[in-house]
Amino acid sequence: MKIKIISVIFLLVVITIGCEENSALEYENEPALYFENTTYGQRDSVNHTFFIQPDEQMRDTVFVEILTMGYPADVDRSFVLEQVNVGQPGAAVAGKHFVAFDDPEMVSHLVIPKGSVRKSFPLIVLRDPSLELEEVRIELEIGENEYFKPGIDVWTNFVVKTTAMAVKPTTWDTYWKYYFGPTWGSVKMKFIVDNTGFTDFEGGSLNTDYAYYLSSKVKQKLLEYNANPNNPDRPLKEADGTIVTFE
Amino acid sequence: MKLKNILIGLGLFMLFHVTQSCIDDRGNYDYMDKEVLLPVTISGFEDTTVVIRSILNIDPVLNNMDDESRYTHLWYAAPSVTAGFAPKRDTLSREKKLSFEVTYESGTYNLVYELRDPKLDIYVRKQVLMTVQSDIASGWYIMKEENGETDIDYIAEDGKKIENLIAASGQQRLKGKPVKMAYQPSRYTPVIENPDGTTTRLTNKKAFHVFSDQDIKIFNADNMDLFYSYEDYFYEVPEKCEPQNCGVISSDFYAINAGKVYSIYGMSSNSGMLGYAKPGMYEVHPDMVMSYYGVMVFDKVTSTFYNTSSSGSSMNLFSEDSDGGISSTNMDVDMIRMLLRKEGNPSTAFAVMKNKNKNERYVFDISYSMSAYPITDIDTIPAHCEMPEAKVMGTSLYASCIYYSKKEVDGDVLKVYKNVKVDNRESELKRFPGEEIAYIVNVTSPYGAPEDETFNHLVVLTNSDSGWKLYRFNVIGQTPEIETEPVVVYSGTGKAGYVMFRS
Repeated sequence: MKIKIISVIFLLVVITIGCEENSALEYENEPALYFENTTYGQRDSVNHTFFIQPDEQMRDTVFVEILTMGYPADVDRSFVLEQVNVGQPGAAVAGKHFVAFDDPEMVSHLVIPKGSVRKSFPLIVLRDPSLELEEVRIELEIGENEYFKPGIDVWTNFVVKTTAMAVKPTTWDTYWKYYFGPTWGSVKMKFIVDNTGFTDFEGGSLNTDYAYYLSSKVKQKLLEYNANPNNPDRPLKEADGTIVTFE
Repeated sequence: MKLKNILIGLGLFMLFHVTQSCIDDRGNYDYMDKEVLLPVTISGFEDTTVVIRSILNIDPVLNNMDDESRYTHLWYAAPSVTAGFAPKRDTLSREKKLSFEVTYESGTYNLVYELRDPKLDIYVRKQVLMTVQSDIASGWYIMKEENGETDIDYIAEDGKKIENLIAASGQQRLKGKPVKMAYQPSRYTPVIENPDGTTTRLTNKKAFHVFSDQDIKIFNADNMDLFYSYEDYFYEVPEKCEPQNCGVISSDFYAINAGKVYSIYGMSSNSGMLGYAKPGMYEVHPDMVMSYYGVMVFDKVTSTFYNTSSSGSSMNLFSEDSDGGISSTNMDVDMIRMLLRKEGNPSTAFAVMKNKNKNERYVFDISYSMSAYPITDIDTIPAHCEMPEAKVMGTSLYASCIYYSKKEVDGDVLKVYKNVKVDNRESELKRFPGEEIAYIVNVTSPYGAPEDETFNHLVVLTNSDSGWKLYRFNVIGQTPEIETEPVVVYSGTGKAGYVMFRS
């Protein structure tokens, strides 16, 4: 019986203690930054090419999405972005291939505006003649200052690659080949861009009828190009002599 | 301490907690009967059926009304059945009496009247089912020209007529003369712009594709709302606007504009718009023959028959004849007309051809299915036959013949060319004094129609100074012959160019 009494008292004590005011765990604000990484959006790198831009365009902007951790602040907060592959083979050179982060033009962009929790950082790439023959890399890393430190470890590095050469779309062999044929080459790519105006080859699937519109148009334009005696290089060929087809 | 005492203690403890939990509970435990708060009852309207473009007038009867000025009124409707999305209510009126011009597509809708006391924020409502029926359905659609514009006269199967369907629906007529129209009974998915600038892709719509020689418009076949006009019907508007033909088969659509072939593949996502023409340095004859696998056309540049599918982006040659028949490519003939006989798989047709090098004309018997060699027979037309020169031609669904018009001083004559290997192949069927034949087609009642509604008619569309006439002649059995007294004659104003039967 005594055991029962003790048990009941014990339960009452536990219930009483259990009903004591509960102090919740509080978040300790530790502001940090990391590069956004989503399945259908920005991943850990981006490829840029001037190839699909008009020849006279000497600058272009690559937007890099950066997210904050911690509470938003009611003041603008600067942050630090560093190129970590300076001097390495294939590294982009600040001032030559992109506008340096300490350039006055860029300083105002290295800020998380007050109340904001994200930033589309405009990395300005420059069309240096060397890009006609090579691709360069800008390996980015979140730096540390009085406002932010690097956030999620695996997402604090990001790579921007830029060139003026044609870049084969990542989904060419799984998607675009059904509309433009399986072969890919820079002359073919330029012909598509020049004749359709379409450049968003990394933007995902299109409406089927629109994709067929692009396909039919580029095929017709190739027929017309090859039939025009004013085109000395007809039939249209790649640099290695491969005849361009869309079949 | 005994267990009994412990249980009593626990019971008291629980009682204390229950009592304590009710302290400061400001819940409302006073209930008033709704008949006291809002005693009004609504009556005076029940489930109803209305026709598109009619006016629905309802004056609800409100009983037990105390002070009408304290209430607000609201009429709204929403589709009673939706799939894949929540029904969206459409406010019809904020007055007590409803006067609503029905513009909805055919279907069933919940029609709701709501009487609200805004002070207490309570309301009573009455909901009924509103069935909307289209006033255009099965029947005859006559495309006609008036003052340089194309409109449609509609005659229902019971003979009821709606003149100038396009203008009567508040739409702009098409510029130019009638060419053709096609009815798509389902799966049309146009993209429309919302008032806020966003777009919505509609699903499973019925559509009329209407072609004049200078214009194209696509209408909702339920309420004649405009889906597309020529300028927004193409991903890239063609340089030359010369609509020549269109047709719907299964869920696919084909069109010819300025000698170029276009299509919409209905089995994949699409916006109901036309893309770029099928690639090629060709210019096709305006006639085409559709089958369930594609469309067959004739290139006037190379005198070659081509086939293409709605999903493909290439013009394909037909196979060569394994029995050594003439090739269907680079032929030494020009096409006069290609006349559909039966549509299906295969589709059959007659192609009336003319030799480029000598004065010979032929009837090609066509059987089209995919890319198999399509010419099943070639017959030389006797030199004295007048059919190849006819302005208007049509075929029979069952007999091997071609109907045609012959112009004479006092009016056109309907004649028939029998596709049999005898010398005397042509005979007169019917005279139309003072009238000019514009279109000839053999139409039958849809499969499964009730016995008393079945028909096999040769339909002849004529024009005269007083307007158009549509004659429906009984075809005698499966012969080319007709009963010369028409079963029915419809008439209207304007100069007709094409008639479509929507079954």
